[in-house]
Amino acid sequence: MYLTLKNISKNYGTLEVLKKVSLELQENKTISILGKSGCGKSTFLKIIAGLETAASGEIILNNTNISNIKPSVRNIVYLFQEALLFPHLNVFENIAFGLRIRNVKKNIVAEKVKTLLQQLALEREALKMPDQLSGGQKQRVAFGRALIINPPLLLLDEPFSSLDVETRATMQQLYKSIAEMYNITALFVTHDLKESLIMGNQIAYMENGSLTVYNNKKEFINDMKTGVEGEIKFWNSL
Amino acid sequence: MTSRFKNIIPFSMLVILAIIPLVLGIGYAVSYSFGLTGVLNNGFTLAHWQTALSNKDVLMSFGYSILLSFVSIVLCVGAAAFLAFYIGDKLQSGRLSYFLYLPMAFPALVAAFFFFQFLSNGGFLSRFFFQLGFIKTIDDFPNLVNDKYSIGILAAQFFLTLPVFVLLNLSIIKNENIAALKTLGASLGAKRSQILFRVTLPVMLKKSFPTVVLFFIFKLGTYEIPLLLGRSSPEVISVITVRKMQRYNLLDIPQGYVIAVLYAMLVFVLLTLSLKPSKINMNV
Amino acid sequence: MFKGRTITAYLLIAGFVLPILLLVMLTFSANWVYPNFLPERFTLSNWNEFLFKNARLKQSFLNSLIIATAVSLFATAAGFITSRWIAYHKRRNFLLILSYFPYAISPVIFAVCLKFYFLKAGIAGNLAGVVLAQLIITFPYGIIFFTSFWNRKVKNYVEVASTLGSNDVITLKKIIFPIAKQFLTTCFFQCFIISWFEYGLTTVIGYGKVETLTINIFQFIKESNTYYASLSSCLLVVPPVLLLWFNKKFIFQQTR
Repeated sequence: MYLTLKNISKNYGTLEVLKKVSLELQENKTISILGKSGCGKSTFLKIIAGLETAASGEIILNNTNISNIKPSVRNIVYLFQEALLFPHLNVFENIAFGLRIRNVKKNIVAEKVKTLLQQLALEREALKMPDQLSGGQKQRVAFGRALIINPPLLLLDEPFSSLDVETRATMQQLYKSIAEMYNITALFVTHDLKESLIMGNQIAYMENGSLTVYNNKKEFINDMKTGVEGEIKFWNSL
Repeated sequence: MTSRFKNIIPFSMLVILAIIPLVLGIGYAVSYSFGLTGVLNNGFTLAHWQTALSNKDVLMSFGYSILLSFVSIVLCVGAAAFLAFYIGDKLQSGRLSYFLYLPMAFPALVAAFFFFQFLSNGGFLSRFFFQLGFIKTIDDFPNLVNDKYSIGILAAQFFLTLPVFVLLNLSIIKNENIAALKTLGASLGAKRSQILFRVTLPVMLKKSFPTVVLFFIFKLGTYEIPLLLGRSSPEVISVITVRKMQRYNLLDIPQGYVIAVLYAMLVFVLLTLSLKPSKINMNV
Repeated sequence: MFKGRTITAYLLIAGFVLPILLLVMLTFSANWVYPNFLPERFTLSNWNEFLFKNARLKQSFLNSLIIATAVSLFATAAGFITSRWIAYHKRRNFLLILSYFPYAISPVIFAVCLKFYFLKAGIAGNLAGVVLAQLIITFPYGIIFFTSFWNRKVKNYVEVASTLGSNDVITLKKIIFPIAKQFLTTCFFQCFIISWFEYGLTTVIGYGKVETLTINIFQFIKESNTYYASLSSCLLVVPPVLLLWFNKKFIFQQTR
């Protein structure tokens, strides 16, 4: 298995945020994790990225135990709800950041950034500053900034939740095509039922720090607690 | 760099530059006030506390400082609220907004010096009235500095602090969206006076309260202005403390430390009871 | 209505500008006898004296400059680093109240309580002692100033940078410093002004041996030397006024 998480636990004082969470994910697949706010999904992602430490458990990526490796060496990119573009850098430099700090040659940086700008439909925005961009554009730049370093694993923490419905749909499609193009392996966290179904090859549900991973979509739909049944009933009753 | 090492530097700076001086300073004052250190130390005694607390000048000094700070703050807060609502738009932007910051370019000492030149018997105001024929001699002009009612002190403090509160109010009006709240109040049927007393002022007061308390504490410790513009009795806390400690009468020194300890306690209580540090507006 | 508002605004501004005008006038004055509104004659001799003859005033100016520069550089740097630690600390509020205390307390009273130790350490009455004493009040100011900088967003920027492969040094250089630049300069100037204006603490720890501009002013006032007092007042007020011209925030410090 490409990514294996074994019995990850975390508590803040007496509050148990994650209770022995385990998960397996194949290469080039995206798993969506559905959960209400405060269920522990962000903490879960931060632990995988190395931004928080787990009380116990193991993270094995590509046959290497990375549980105790610094975030900057893990190469796993965490995408926040907010795009968090560096405010002092323009679009081009934001995307180039990961390569610049690795001292990659200038012409290679330029080439790679240009390709990404093209694929993300951001060519005309290259010299703009973050505050001149729309919400969707910002998220695309954040994607580009992550993709440029070829991360072995991408963690997406509700990246589209602050966008309007239309932009959101476009971004979901864009993500899917990019994910395929770049062979991305990712965990996609969301509180939106529909989005979880669209984005994941695999689906899981998190509640009160416990994670249920479903074998297929049918199982997910049939589980009462995911709320799919209720949703179907609502639309049928119209 | 390990995270432990990263924490040691800020921790030790806080200890060396803030905590140790605090502990040493207060500790010295406390032990001096109980006769445990100092030139005349004869072991533990409550005598200095008894003398200081039965000294009319000391008690008056605390009362006077508290009253003076209170009046000073009330004047500033009131005038600032009025100005912010009445001419706030004019002060918020444009060239006038720069002038609003001018008093902040004045150290307390220079403000005190100016108000002395302005308000004293031989000062500008007196000359002005003389030229207009309102007064005949220099003595006709009322005492406005080193005076009974502390007018000079209040004027100088008003000059220094008014802009801070005007700016604070302007930022509250903007951030709390007072205009929208007023419209909302009106749409719910509130009269103008009701909007003022039930919406606008409560919101403003609640938001500015921590800063108001902080400035009250600042005024309690004010030194230069009362030193130049105050009278020899009553004196504010800082002035009486420093004077007691610089006395040739060695018995006065422990009393000075008693005052310092009492004052530090007062500041500490005010700070802990009424301040949530995150709420103080440092960047208006 | 409109007129009343305009008049109020200009009256207020006049009240704020008047002190500077009168102080400047006094520096050019000679024989300002009662009840004349203006001095008998205007002269350059006071300025002439300061610029070309009075070594003492020049030395005080230089002292003030050295002390304020040293104090604000150190207070800004130390405040920046320490406030980061405090901002993300579990006991943040307690540590902040602790920082507020030395800043809120009257500097002159704090100074008389600490004087003993400065004497023992042999640094009362020299520049180093005054710098250290002023740091004790400006360093907490720096901490308090920067706590609003270290918010969740900055923390997230740092986290993003680290997941992108940036180490601490690079993050500091490429992310934190550029974002904090405005904050750092503002804090520097505000601390500079606090130090530049400081009188009470400086007299106590300076022990009459370190002369700064504020101490000069006080002496001139005591000697009833109005012209020199206003001249040194002007020297003291001019730098902040210049700063104001560059950026209003630079001189916004919460003074007493």
